[in-house]
Amino acid sequence: MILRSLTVSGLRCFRNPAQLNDFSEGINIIHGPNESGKSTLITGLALAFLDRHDMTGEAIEAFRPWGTSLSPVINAEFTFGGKRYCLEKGFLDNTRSTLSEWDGRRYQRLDEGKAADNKVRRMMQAEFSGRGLSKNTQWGLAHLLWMPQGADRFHSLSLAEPGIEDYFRQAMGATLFSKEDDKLLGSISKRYSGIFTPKTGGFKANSEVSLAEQEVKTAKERLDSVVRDLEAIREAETDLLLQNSRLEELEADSAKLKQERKALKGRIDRIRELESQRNTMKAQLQSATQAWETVKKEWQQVDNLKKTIAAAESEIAQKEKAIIPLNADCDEASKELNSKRATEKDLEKDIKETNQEFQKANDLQQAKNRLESVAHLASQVQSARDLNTKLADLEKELSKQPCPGIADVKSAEKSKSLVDAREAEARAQGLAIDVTAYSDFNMTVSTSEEEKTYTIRPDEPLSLASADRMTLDIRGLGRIEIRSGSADVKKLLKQIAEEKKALKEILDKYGVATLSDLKERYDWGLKQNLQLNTLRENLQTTLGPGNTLRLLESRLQKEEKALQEQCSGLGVTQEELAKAEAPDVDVLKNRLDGLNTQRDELVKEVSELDKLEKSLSKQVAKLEQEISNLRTSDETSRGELKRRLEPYDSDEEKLKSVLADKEKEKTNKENELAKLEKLIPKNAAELERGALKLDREIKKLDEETIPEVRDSRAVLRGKLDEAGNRGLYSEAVQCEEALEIAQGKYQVALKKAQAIRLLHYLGLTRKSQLLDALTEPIRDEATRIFQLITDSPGRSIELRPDLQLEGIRVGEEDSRAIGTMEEFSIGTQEQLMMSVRLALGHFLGQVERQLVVLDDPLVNTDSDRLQRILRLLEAASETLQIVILTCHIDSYQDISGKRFDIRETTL
Amino acid sequence: MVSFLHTADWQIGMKASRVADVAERVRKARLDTAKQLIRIASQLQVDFVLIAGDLFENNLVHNEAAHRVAEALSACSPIPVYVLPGNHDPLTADSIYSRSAFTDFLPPNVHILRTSEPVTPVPGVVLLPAPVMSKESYNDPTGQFQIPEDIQEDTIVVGIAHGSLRIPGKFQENDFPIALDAAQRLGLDYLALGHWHSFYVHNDMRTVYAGTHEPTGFDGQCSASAAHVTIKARGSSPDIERLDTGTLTWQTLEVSVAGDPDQVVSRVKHEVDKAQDPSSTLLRLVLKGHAESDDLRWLEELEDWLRTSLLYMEIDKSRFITRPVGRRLRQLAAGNLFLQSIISDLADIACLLGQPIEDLPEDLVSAGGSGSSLIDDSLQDSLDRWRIEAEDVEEALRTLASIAEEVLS
Repeated sequence: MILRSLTVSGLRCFRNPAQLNDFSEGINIIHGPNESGKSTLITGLALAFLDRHDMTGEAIEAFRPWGTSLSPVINAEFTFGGKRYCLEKGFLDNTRSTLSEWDGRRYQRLDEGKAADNKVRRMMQAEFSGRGLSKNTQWGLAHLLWMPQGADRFHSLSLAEPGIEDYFRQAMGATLFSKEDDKLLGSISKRYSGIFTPKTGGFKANSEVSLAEQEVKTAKERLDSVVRDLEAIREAETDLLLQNSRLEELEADSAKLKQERKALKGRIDRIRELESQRNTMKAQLQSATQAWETVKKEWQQVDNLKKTIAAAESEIAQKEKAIIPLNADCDEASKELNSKRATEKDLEKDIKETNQEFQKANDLQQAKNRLESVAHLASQVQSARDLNTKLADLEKELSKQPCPGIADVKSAEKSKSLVDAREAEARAQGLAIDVTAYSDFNMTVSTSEEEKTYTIRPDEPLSLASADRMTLDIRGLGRIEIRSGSADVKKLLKQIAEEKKALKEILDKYGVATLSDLKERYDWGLKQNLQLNTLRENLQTTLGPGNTLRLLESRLQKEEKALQEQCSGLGVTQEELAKAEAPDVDVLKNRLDGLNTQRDELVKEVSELDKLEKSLSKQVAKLEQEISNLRTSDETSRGELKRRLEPYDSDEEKLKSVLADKEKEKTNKENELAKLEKLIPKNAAELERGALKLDREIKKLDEETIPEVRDSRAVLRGKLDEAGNRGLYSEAVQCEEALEIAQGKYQVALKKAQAIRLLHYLGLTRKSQLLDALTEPIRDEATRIFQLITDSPGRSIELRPDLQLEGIRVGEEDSRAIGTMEEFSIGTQEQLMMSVRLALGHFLGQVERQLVVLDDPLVNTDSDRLQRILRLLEAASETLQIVILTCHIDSYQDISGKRFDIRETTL
Repeated sequence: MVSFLHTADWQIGMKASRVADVAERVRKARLDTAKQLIRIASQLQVDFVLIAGDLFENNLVHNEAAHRVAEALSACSPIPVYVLPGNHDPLTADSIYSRSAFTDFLPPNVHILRTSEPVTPVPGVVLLPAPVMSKESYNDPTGQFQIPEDIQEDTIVVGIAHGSLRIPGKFQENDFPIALDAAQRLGLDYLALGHWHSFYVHNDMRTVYAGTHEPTGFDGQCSASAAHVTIKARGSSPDIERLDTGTLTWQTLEVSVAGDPDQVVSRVKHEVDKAQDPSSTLLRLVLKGHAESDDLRWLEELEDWLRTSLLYMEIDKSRFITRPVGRRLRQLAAGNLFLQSIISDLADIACLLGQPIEDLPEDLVSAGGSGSSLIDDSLQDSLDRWRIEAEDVEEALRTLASIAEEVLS
């Protein structure tokens, strides 16, 4: 298709019709400044060729010129398939579509309405959108060959729509992958997608093969379960046989053990009899031994008594000899002790007299000391009383006049300062009047602050100022009252009044009239307080730390009383006491100490002598007591000896004879016991244990093991009965048969699925291969153009089988380094997209000259590349009609072709 | 003179997974035939009935099967029936003969031979039983026979056992081997045997297998028979009458496919029509030869007809060579490189899997789509992963033909 003329109106910036006639079959350059409507022309072209005329909605409404109710109308003349057509299309309020064909003399109406739309759409190999404007990908040939403005130009091309793919296939002269092939593969794919998941290629859960597989699995699980049960039954059967034979063995074991136990019991009974005899013998032996031991003990007692009597007699003789010298020493010590005690008594009397003398002298000395102390204390109390009186006077004076604190003084100063400052500010903002006299006159001026009378003379002009009001009273002439209406001044005056009120409150508090009076009062108060503090410090010093006047007075009274008592005790008056001579206390004290020392030494000696005398007396008494005890014991032993020998007729020899008889009897019994011990086997205890062990084993067998085996047998028997009643084998048979059926189904379904999987894989692979072969020439041509533009032979364009742009390969063909679009500059990207479009145009133009639209295509291209592109465009215009829209006409001055100035197209 | 019915190997509750679809029907047939046999015994007015082992397929069959058998046996009351446990239903711990669900239902005329103790079924006859106690045994079961010492000279002696006669090549040592001269050596007038499923009379003319009463498969090894025995007197040769029984017909039909397939269809239909009762017939059709065409609709129709007419049918096509790439597919592929490529790829894969497609037209092989083979390591890996087999390739070709016909016609 090539474009011959284009007229648009009622379309965005084209309120009035714009017409472009006599398009060249080669290159056409539509130029104009920005916003002049170049791209709108292309939009109009797309609307005419690619959208329904009766379209409604916001998308088409947006094409009305702004602020008008005009409707888009587009007329285009074009050639297609060697025939010339005219398409008249109106939208919205001018809805119409008419396609006419040139018959050599004039246009003959061919189709109208939808038929006309569809016919043109088919010429463009395009698809209509379901609603609204058609998408770029639905534009058919225009999608491949028109390069729009902005980011859309970088969108990858696609053969996604079936119409264009088919046309493309025809244009390439290819019969490799036909529509029928598509249908065939589509049918295979449909079946495939019914069986397999698109992501993993696994069977779909609801596919026939999955369901059959699940059925097999379920049947198998059921069979396995039954088979396991059957195996368990087989095991139970084997177990039962084992348990039967075990039970027989256990019962035989039990019988055998019982027999063994019987034999063992016989032996044990015999041993028990012998053991009884042995025990009797042991008792007899014990009795004989006891009798022998009693006699033997008696003999030993007699012998010991004899020895005891001899030893006591010897000891008494020794002690009587030792007591004589001890008695002599004791008498001598007693005499010396009595002498020392008489001396001690005399010394005690002397000490008592000296001590009384010393006490009297000491009391006199203490009374004199107190007399001095009372005089000092009385003086101190008097001084304190004087200071206290002065303090009271001063405090009384201070309390009569209130003194301000520093805070009040500062607050008053601040208020005064604020009043002054704000009054000055008020005056500055308030009224200012200059008065000049032509002749002398008097004038009384009243302001809010003061009232004053001035005499005004012609040569002495007067300047007056006031905050808010001023009254000029010129006697004999009249009265002028001036008021300020300023809000600021009123605000200031209000603040001044508040501050003055605050200042007055402080002054009133202390009964003063002015701030200076307040300060004077403050200074006086400060001075009085200083004096008061000094008096207080002096009083504290006079009283001493921690004392009060009352305390001191109390202490003075106590001391005076104590002194009075001491004087009474001594029998003197205070005056006599003051006159009395001070006694020599130290001489009396030394004398008393000497006497005390003598007495202590004497007491020590008396004590030692007393101890010696008592010790000697104690030794004598002890020896006398021991001798007495020994004599008593000796008499007891002799009585005991006599008593013990009495049963033996007081004959010691007879006692010896009885002892020999008893020993013989004991020996006989021992011999008999030894004989019995030999008869009793040594392992008797072992036999007993063996018997007990047998009892336990038999008990365990009869009461535990055999019942356990019987129980176990019953359980196994129960299992077998249960399996029988359940018909376990029949169940297994049914499961096996069900599995067989399920497996059969699964095999059939699997076979079908496998076939579809194979066909799907092969179909897709072959389609990809064939399409790859189809797009290869495009890829080569685009690469050639791109290399020419960029002057970079090392780069090649990579396209996917559906013409989607994969990227740019840098380097050899087998290189894996494919750069995506985003990795290159905007300029390179637009050159790349132009290369692909020119390559497509090259092949599509071989069928019929095609319209290529490039909307401001080379704005980011440098001048060298631009020149090379212009040359390529010139070459391409041999088979293509190229429409370039640009605002840079200078860039295209070296290229031949028809030029349209958009500003001159308006009718 | 004594007359009795000798049968064996009823194997009630038998498995039929080979014909799983009709397994229940096959099992039911065994019971039906058993009932039929019991009716024959009543009609013949025999003195007693001997069942020489394997009355049940297994000791753990359903109670329902046990009840049905008890019911069937009660039908010939008062004729006594003697049941010998066989290797399928031995007197083991789980024996069905100990299950109350069976024994409680047994009528008084039915006797389970639990021991080797001789039995007197009718006066003048002594029955020597050899019950089986295990699944297998190396011992001759007739060794169990206990011939009474005080037996009278004219007492007819009948033995009943379950095992394999020691005929070379026909027995295993652990399969209850029975000496060939057992009857003669033990002085038996008749030895009633069970275990083998076909009717067999040994050359001593008194050692007999009655065979199973109902065939069990297509192999023809089963006879569907029983024996009606009459013994006139002690020492006389028994009169053995074979009774043909059976409810189902298991038929194997081999047909060669050559030329017009309609002839094959006619022949098969003719054979089936000859059957007495097609609804009780199980057919195994074995096809041989080459299909002339890839058009196998005649076979599909025949399958449909057989399936409708018979109780069961299966077709063995393992020796029947079909043509997955037939004339129609070739026509569709002519001039279509895409289709040709896929066919060629499938042929390559079939070769790769070791089963080249027979009769693949040369033009399709050489057409080969783009000319390059897809077979590479990746495809081989995929085939392995998907577990594609040669028959899947043939199925794929048939599917392709079907889809191509549907889409391209």
